[in-house]
Amino acid sequence: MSAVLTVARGTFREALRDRVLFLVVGFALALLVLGHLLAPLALGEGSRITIDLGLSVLGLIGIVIVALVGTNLVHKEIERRTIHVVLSRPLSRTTYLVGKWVGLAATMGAAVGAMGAILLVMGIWLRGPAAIGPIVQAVFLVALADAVLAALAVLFSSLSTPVLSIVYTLGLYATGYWTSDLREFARAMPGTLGAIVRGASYAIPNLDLFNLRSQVAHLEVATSAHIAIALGYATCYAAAVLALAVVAFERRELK
Amino acid sequence: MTRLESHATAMPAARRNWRTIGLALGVFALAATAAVGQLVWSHHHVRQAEPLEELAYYPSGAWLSQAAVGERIAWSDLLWLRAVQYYGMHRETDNTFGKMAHVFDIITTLDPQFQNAYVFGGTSLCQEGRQFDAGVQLLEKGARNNPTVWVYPFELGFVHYLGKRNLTRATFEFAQAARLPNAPDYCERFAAWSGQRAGYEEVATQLWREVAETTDNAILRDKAIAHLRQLLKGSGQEMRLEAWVAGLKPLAGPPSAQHGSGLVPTLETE
Repeated sequence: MSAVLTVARGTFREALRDRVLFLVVGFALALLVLGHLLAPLALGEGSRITIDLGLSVLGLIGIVIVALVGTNLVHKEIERRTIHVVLSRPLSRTTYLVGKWVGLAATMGAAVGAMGAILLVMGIWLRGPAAIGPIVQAVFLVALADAVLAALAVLFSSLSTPVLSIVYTLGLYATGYWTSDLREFARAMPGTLGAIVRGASYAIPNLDLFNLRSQVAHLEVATSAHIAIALGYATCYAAAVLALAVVAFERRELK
Repeated sequence: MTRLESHATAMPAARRNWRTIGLALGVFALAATAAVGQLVWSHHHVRQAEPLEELAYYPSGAWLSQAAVGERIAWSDLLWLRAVQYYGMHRETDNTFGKMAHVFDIITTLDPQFQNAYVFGGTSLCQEGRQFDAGVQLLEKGARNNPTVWVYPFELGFVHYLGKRNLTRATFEFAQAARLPNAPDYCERFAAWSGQRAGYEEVATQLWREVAETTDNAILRDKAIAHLRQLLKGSGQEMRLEAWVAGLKPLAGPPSAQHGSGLVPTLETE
């Protein structure tokens, strides 16, 4: 466990060195400016729009960090050959990979948490205390979605080149919001094809489960069952993806 | 070694750097000026796209919902800003709102609970837009998507009463609104007045008063005040009306939407 944390700490520090958290400052400033600019133009919807767009930007920054940092995570170390130094220590490949994911998820958590705190302050200021519950829940679920995407990024990073990893991760991010539509399509498809599409709809991460933007816009609190299912799903999905990543990484020749 | 190369190597490195930077800045200034100049020229000589023109090509809100990749709410917000811009521009110019029904349909498909879009879009289509059926359809869509919200039947009663003077339908809608959770007392009052065929001007005055007092939308309030001014013209109550207008809480909105901006009521009545 301590070995996992050591690798995670290293990954977290490396992400900080990449100045990922500078995004947070930019986000805060953009949100403040947006609020002031939109209020007179939005006919009574300025506060709603500031918070909605803030939440969207927060989600998009998450996928950008995953795409830029996560997909390069393992590949960079293989290319620089630093992975040989790391793996020559009493450290299994599994520990290394899980540590990388924990570090990346922690980085995402820190970035999303900091941006979420800024959004929460803005939300309370613009929409009152009723905004606390919806915003806290929405930010938490964004962090969970990012952890799932980080697991996918680690899987692709251990299998493929950074460019292809970015393509795969972004592809799954986009289709992750269409899983229920895929299931609908599958119903209209004949036998085997329908079964394949239906199977694919379960293999792709169901990102709509982590999307509470509508609830925030209308100041509605999601049920605790929703939050619990999202937490359970994120944990299981990330574990499954990391298990696949371990299988792929254990079999990989590191030259 | 050529003459040029020998000259370059003879120059100190720092000076060479400054020369390159100076050259690059010069190119930047020239290129940027040319680009901006062409843009300004194009404003006068190339047909400019009308705001929201691109929306006419979007198949439907349902299609956009899929394309939004989890950002339906953010897209509905951005389209709301564009719709307000479109409304304001045409309100000040030609008073035609050809694409308004389509854009408000898209916004409310992306966010089926966007109350301000239904109310502002529905009432504006019925009034300035002179598309009564489209406005009613939008409000009915709001009522279908939010069956427990009293606002939609109330607004339907409002447009039927003021737009078509259809008192039977207005009474039905006001009564529907009164039955829904959290409906204010005035829903029942308007249902009763409308049902008893009370004086049209008095009821219209009360309806517009409620709009002006309860809306967060500066343009809707502005319209309500303009209607009230017209309704109370010559009644001897103008001073009281202006005092009441001055006491209303200020709303955020574009300068053209503040009190007394001169938006002329164009309620289509039969």
